[in-house]
Formats: sequence, C-alpha cells, structure tokens
Amino acid sequence: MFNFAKLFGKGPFSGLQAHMHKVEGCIAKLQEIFDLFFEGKHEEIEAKALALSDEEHEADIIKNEIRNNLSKSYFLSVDRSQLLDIIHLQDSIADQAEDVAQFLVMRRLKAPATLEKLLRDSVNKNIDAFWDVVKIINKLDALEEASFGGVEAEKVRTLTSQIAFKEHEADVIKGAFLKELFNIADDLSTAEFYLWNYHIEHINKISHLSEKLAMRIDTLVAIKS
Amino acid sequence: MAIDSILIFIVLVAGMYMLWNIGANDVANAMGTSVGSKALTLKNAVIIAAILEFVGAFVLGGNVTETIQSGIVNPSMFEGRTMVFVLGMISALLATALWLQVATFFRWPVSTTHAIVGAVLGFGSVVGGIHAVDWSCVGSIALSWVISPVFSGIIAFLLFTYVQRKVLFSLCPVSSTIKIAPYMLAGVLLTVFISLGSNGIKNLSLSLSMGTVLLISSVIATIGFFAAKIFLAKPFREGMAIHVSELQGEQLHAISKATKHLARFKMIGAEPHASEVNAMIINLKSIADELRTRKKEESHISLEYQIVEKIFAYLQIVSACCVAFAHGSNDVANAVGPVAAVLDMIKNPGTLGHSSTVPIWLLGLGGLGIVVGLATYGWRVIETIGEKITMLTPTRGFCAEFAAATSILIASKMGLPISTTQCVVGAVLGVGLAKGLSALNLKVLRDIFMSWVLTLPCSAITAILVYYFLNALFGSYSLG
Repeated sequence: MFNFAKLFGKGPFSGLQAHMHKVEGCIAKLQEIFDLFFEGKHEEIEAKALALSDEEHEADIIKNEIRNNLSKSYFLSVDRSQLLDIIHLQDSIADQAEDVAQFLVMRRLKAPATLEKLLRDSVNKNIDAFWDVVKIINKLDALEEASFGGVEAEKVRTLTSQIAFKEHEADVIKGAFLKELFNIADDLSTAEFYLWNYHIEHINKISHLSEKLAMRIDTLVAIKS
Repeated sequence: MAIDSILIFIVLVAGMYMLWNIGANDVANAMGTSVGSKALTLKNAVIIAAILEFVGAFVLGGNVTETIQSGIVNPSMFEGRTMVFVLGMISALLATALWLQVATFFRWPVSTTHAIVGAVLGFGSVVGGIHAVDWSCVGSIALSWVISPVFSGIIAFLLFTYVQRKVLFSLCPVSSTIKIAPYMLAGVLLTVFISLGSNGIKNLSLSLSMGTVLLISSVIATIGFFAAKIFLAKPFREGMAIHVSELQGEQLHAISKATKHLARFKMIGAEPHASEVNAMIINLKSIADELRTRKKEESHISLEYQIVEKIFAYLQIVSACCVAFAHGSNDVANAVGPVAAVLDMIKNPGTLGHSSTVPIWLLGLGGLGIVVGLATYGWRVIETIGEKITMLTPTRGFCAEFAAATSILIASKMGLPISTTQCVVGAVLGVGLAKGLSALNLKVLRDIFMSWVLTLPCSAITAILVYYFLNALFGSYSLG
C-alpha cells in the first residue's frame, strides 16, 4: 500500500528558529558581559565569555544538523541556497558575539568617559537591531502560512526597514566613536588604541549582520502582494 | 450446478476481501488530508467517507466496473470457452488480493488499480491470446495513469495560486476569504455536478441532455453560492474587525511609498520647493513612527490567518465529500469488476458479455464492502495518516482535494480505472510547486513510478500462475 504520509517532510523553519534561539542566548550573554564591563567587574567577564563560547558551539551543532538534513530529495518552499544563506548569517551573528566577548577579556580596559558613552550607545543600538531580526525569524512560520506575501510580508518589510535604519544609526555612532578615539589617541598605548578600534569595529558588525539577515528574509517576500 | 455455486462463492469471497482491503487502506489516502488539516474530526471523516464512498460506488461505479469486466479483455473472444474466462477472472481477483497482501507486508507502494488491471491483462493476453485483449482500451488506461496525477497537479497548482493571489497576499485576508469563498463553493458544485451528470447517469437510468445538466448544475451552484454568503455573513465579523487594527501594515506601506516618491522628487531636483519637500518627508516619517508605536505585538501566526483557515475548513468538508465520492466511484470497480464478469458469464453463458451493464445490487454490495473495511480497520489508518500530515492546512488541503476529486471524477465518468492515491499525490505536489508546503519528499515520485513498472508484471504473472492452479482444480468441469 502507498503510504501517503511519506510525502510530507518536516519543514526547515523550526530548525532555523531553534538555531536562532541559541544565537539569542549568545547575544543576551554579550549584553550581560557589557553590563559587567561598564561596571568594571572584569573578573566575572571571563566566566561569562566562556559560557557564551559554549552557547555558540551549541548553535554550531544545530547549524550542522540543519545542513545535513537538508536532503536533496525534498522539495522546499524556500530555495535551498537561500536557506543555507540564512542559517549562515544567523550563525555569523553568534560568531561575532563570541569574537567581541573574547577580545573584551584580553586586557582590563577602562574607557575614558567620552568614549564610554559612545560605546554604550553603540552596544545598545547594535543589540537592538538584533532583537528586531529575531522578531522576523520568529515570523517565518506565519510567513509560510501566508505563502510569503500579504500582511505578514508587510510586517517583515516594516521590520526590515526599521533594522536598516538602526544599522545606519549604529554606523553614525561608530563614526563619532572613532573620531573621539583619534582625538585622544596620543594618550593611549598602542595596545589600547588597537583594542578600542577592534571593539567598535566588531560590535558594529552585529547590526550589519542583522540587517543582512533581515534583507535575506525580505528577498523571500519580494514582489508579492 | 454445484460447480457454479462453488465458483460464485469463491469470487464473492475474494471480491469482498478486496473491497475490505480498499476500505481499510485506500480510503485513508483520500481522507487523511482532511483529518490532517483538522477540517474534520476522525469520526466525521469516517462518517462522510462511509456515506459518500457508498453513494459514489452505487451511482457512478458502473462505468469503471464495465471496463474491468469486459473492456480490457473481450469476453466474446472466449466463445465456447466460458469456463476459461470465468476461471481467469477469478484468478485475476485472487492474484490481486494475494499480491496486495505481499506488498502490504513488505510496505511496497503499490496501487490496487494497477494490480487488478495488470492481473486481468496478464491472464487475458497469455490464456486468451494476444487478440483477446483490447489494446486500445489498455493504451488509454495506461495513458490515464500518467495524465491523471499530472492533471490533478496542474489544477491544484492553478487553484492554489489563485488562493494565494486573492487571499494570502491580500492585506485583509479575512474579508477577502469571505468574498471569494462563495465563488469557490459554487465552482466546486458546478464542476462536480457537471462531471457527474454529463451523458446521464446510467445506473439510475437517468439520461440527461447537456443543457439540462448545465441548468441543474448552475441552479445547485447558485443555491450553494447564496447559502455560503448567508452562512459567512455573521460569525466571522470579529475576524473582519481585526483587519481594521491591522490596517497599520497597509498604512505604513503607503506612507513609505509616499516618502520614497518624495525622496525621488528631491533627487531629481526640487530646487524651489526643496525645503517644503524636506518638511513633508519629516512629517511623513513622524506619522510612520507614531503608527509603528501603536502597533501591538502579534501572536506567532496571526489571528487573521487562523480565521482564514477556519473558513477554508468548511470548504474542505465539501471537497472531502467530493474526494470520497470520487474514490468510491473509481475504486469499487477494482473488486466488483471481476465479480460482475464472473456472475454475468455464469448466469448467461450464451450471451458472452453482451449484457454488459453491471447489476445495481452488486455496486451496492461493493459500496457496502468498502464501508465495512473502513469501519473495521480503515479509520485507524486514517488516524495515523492524519497525525502525520498536519502541515497540510485547510487552504492547501482544499485545493489539493478539489483538484484530485475533479480528475478522479472525470476518469470515473470515462470508465478509466486510475489510482486515486496517485491523483491526490499529484494534487499535493501541485500545491507544493506553488510554494504552498514547506517540504515535500520527492522520493515518492520514484515510488509512483515503481508502482507502475513493478505492479503490472508481478500481478500479471501471479494471475497466470493462479489461473493454471485453478484450471487444474476445476478445468475438467463445465458450466451449466
């Protein structure tokens, strides 16, 4: 007898969301790390950074599972290469968080007051942009129900433009930070200068990657409605 | 006389077993979609299937039954050898039952239809000789096996694309659904009744002209249209109210378009009005911001789509009825065809297939057999299949079922024995091609192909072997 149920495979979105959940954990830990950093509790950061690395590794495992289970014999509603792109971007956000955390424990930096405010702004803006893209990923099943169009697509579009704007704001903050950094460069050691530069570059990539991820989902819903 | 009774007994038992098998296994593939999408509870699905399978078999089962009874193998080629024909038909039936049992044990994806056609063909061509088989009839059956799933797929694809455009991509999906659902219902009724009534219904000795059929069908469709309109007018008001608060999406879209146009105007060169344009853009942005903050957090899958699915669940009840009816009308023949052939030959050995109309009581018995299979075992298969295909929501399920039912009905009307399961699979793949389903296992295509090439020779050879066995037992007797 023909088993009809065999026709239906498990959709890839629940996997993507499970992976994103791990990435959320990484970013939440990064936020805590920065809170500790600004409070000057450097000794606690190290443990948190290790926990973040663990979470990043768990995300990697889920990512590989999804990749391996994306069998060619399934016909998917979303292009396979696009799915791989999405999971890759999600994962690179976790990688980015790990990078930032790892360099934060390299040396016990104390930011000058002017830099600290800008750094705080930058962290908040970047993490803000990330939480917006989480909303989009959580919408994937609703999007599929709506066949990637209509009201749900409109919501994704709104969120995407919101993230794009936050990314732009983050860039502006980064510019201000760099300007300030070069202002006081003569008072810093080479290592300190390098580290500050590294931090701002890498924190800023979180909003950049979030925007890219949002744009990928946005291309799924393009020109429908 | 004794030998007649023994043969009639054997053929009836084998026929009833086949009917039970169809009710137990095949019905599930047709009804599982409705249970999976939760348009029907298991109990309601079984009740609907029981009633409409019976009606389908009783009213429209005759056409395909005749094909199997006397279309594939021409009984008049067995002039003077009626016993050979009778034994052949019995062995075809037994071989199919046997083969199905083996296939079920090994979980091979075979179709009852392919098995019985292969068995009849095998016995006919080997025992009766190459000329006993009506090859043009066989050719059209083979063609219909390829065409029917493809045809279902195309209809399902088109229908689901239409639902996407009209409902899913709409910015107010609930009111769009309420608007198009009556047309959908009318369309279903029109299709079903036209395909049912064209050329009249032989079993009820109802002969209708095409004009009458069109008239009756459109009257029924119109009644359905207004009934749906009245039915949908009230209970989904709350659903319609939602889109008012959800209008923000649409508003935001419009405002962002306006902003873009203004920005373009600025880019082209808005020299004398530049400051005004700037002010306008800033204004629009603040309106958009205000709208955005008013926006509430939504649940996972928004309520609107849940209501859309609820309305489509009602439509799916109708399409499920169509599928059950269509299934009964096509698959009953797999068991009843050979039985009818044997009974006809034993009762009127002289006329050799000239009285080719299937006795109506036999079709009723066929319907009953399917219902028994469904009631004793089939409901459990429906349950398991339903549990596994939850991703098929009513919007998708309705499109797939309607497409499958249409192509099965057309085949039944033309007297072509096709695999109903493959039609449903074709329809589901059609919905998938329209990007309606998140993951479809394309390995089943290989299964379908295997079912074509594997079943035919196997059941044919089994039928021939069973024939020689029966011939050794009963061959020395003669009928009457």
